[in-house]
Amino acid sequence: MIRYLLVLVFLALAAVVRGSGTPQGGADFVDVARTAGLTVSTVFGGEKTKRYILETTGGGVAFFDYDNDGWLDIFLVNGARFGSQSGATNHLYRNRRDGTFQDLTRRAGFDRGGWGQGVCAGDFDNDGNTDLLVTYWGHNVLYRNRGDGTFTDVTEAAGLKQHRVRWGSGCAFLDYDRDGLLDLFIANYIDFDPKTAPDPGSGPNCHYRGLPVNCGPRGLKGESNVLFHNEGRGRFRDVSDSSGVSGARPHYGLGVLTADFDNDGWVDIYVANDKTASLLFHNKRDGTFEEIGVYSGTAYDADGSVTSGMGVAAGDFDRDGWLDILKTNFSDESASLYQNRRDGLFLDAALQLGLGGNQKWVGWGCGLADFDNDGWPDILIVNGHVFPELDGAGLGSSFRQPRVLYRNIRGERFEDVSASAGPAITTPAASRGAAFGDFDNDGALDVVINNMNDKPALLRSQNRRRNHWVLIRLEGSRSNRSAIGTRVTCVTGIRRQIDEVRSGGSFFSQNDFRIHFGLGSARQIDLIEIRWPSGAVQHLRGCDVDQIIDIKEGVKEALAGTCETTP
Amino acid sequence: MFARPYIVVIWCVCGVASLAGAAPLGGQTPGPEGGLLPERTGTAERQGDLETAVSELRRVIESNPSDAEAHGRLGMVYRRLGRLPEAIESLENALRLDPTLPRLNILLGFSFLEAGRYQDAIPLLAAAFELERKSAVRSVVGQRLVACYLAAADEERALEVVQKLRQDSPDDLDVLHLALRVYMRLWNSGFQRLLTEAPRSRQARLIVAESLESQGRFTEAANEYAQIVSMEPEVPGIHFQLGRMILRSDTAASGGDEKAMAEFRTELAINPMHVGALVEIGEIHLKRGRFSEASKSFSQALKVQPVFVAARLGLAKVRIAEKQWAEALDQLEYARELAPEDEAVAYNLMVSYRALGRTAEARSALDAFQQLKKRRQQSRSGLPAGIPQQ
Repeated sequence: MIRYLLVLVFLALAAVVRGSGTPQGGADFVDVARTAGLTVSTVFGGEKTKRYILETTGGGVAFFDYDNDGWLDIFLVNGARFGSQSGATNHLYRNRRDGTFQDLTRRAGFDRGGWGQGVCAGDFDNDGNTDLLVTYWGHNVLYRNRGDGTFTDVTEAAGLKQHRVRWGSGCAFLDYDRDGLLDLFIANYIDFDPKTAPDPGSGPNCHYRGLPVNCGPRGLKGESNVLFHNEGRGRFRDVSDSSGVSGARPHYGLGVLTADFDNDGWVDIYVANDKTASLLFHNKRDGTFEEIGVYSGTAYDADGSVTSGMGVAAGDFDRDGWLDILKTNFSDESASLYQNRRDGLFLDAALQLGLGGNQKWVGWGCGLADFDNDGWPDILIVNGHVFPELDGAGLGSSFRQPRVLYRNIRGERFEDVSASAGPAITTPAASRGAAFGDFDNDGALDVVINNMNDKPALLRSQNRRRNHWVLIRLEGSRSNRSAIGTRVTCVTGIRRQIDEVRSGGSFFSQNDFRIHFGLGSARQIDLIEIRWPSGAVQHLRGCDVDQIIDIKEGVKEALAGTCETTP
Repeated sequence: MFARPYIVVIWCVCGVASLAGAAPLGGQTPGPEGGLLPERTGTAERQGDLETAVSELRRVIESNPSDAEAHGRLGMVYRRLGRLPEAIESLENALRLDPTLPRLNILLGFSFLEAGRYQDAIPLLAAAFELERKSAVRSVVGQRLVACYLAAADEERALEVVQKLRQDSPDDLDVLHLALRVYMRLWNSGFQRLLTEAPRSRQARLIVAESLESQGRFTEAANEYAQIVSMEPEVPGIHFQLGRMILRSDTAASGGDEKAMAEFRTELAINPMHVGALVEIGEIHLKRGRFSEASKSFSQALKVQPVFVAARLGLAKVRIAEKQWAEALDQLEYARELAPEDEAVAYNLMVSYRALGRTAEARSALDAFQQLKKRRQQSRSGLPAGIPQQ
């Protein structure tokens, strides 16, 4: 009998120990890309060596619902390779709603090759179909979603045709003047020409730890940002100079993040720059921006030193009602976590909050999102070095690197839970773009990742914590139809969370437009407040948890989802 | 006979840069007939007809073999023709006939250098370098003398001359470049000697480790320091260096901090006053969010060395992390007095003033920070337009 009891106690303890990985780790992931049908490798420069920096940055990825069926589809940006006709194109995968995807690239009209970079989504013509902007080294392309499963290149007709080759990088649709039409911000990386670019190892900026590698970005000509104002009827006008976004000194722009950082109701723009001070453009509400990066504390690290900014994400990790900024950087640099002090000043609190332990990785795509639905936004960063030459060089570093998952501990610190999050996190890869969203509509956030010269990864969350959640899908009417820039507040008891609908972000990527909140053990949502870019405010009370709620601007009741009242 | 000032005039006309090659000759020239060189000689030289100039000068010398200036001038024309042996012979003849001919010894020294006769060039140029008062000429002579010493593998004397040149012209980029070449040669020769005589010594391993570190090869540098530690574990400073390299090494997995911490602690056991180790420990604690341990470590370092800026900045960063802005400011203002050029101090001052709502001081600290950044960038400058600064 005693022996039997001991066995029971042992089994019970074993179960606790076995199960502790998930509750403590919060979320774990399984890479289901292969079974889901994401089987085409992204081509991006040389596999073993890279002659030019152009081959190193990789491409973005989008989670977006192109056919309005309520299920996230996937768009993967593809690159090219010098000296070969790879025939690679971007890829569109339609969500079959059963955990698999169908490659509709050709049918949708994405047959263009070239050095694709970033992607951002937005319904620029307010026709109810989400359009895409794909940036290129070369010429960016605006794809209009025709609503019949096909896309049309309308770049020239929209007035977005460039007069010279540029290296478009991060991008975002935004309504900076709140006129209900989506404008477009595009960062540029380097004024690059392979004909004049120096050879690997040919100068001081062409070595890494003694190894001859491709040159840059230091020593190469920097670039400037561009902003296009949506004039209506499908036309844009270049307002880069008059708005003030092009005036910042030459820099190497990569990730673009748009958000209302000072809670004044007007969207601001943050640009993560590589090896140059990052930029924060404060919206002056008159069509112009003031660059306040250094004074706001978001340009440098905590020592005032420049970092190599790559990816960016916004989130209110400490739940104080103000959006903070996450920025990934190069190796030997911690990721930056700029904590919003609510007075226009941000503090890089990365080290104090526990993000200092993974400085050996080169960070790219990143998300500040609640992966375990406990009501506190966590952090996921995808990594990969820029030099494949490192493999076998004996320098103790490698091209492929593991991902990193941090669990938010009540907004006070982050705990590295990568080791318990499964091989989808710990297996090394050369990752670049990463998009966050719930592709299987189960309330747990998944991740799609664009890997360099490799197949993509689709990280399905295995969240077993049984925490509650809500997804909120918004549609503007007076505001832009994508509802980009809309601020949503979700109140459950004393817990108050915020987020915004955002175009672009992460590294060159597009996250799910739907707002996701983890609700922990809350069984009902007390209040959902929606502040539309038009200025209109809507409230929903007494909404059920674990559901997707559809809300249209100006319509009092949720179009889908269960809530008590809409006073 | 030539008038003596003639060669001086040549120097002025030629300019310092043309010392190595001969100069275009010009002007009315004195010759043997009536005390003036035939006009056609000067004309031939001006027109670049150097062969004619040679014939004319040789004719002059044939008629008056003791004409020192004619020999000198012939030597210069030969130099222009690239006929070094003849140039040297003529210049030597000139100086033998009249050793006081000004600066002709310098041209002879240059000619010896160009002919690879460094040992012959050295006494001439060394003497000229000591005597020369005109700074531009002294600089060029000094640089050629350094070249001779380097060619003769006499780096020590090259260093002596280069140091004098640097005192004369601290901003001269040619001199700076030459100095770097000399330092590099000295480093290389010293390194080779050390490796040859004691390849497995601590000193040899140290120099290898430092070299690897300077190249950013931190993992390999850490291995070298580890070898030294295994050979002589009690030598002060090595555990500290090993800890630093572990922190910077890519092979340091997530446990790297703790491994480095162990090395810093060992260093402190050998030398409890090692402020560098105390600061590194403080930084690790700060990175891990262990503020009280970080504070203790930085404070300990400041007890040993109150003017150690890194420790004071570290303590300020702890206070900032704890949001104790006034205390942070105390440390930072003191640090600014100690190191007004420190960008990190200036930046954190700006942040702290802002946090305390002292806007005017924050703006002023921001200006100071940006000035420091700008100055540093300018010191690196030479970047073409469009190349971003940091």
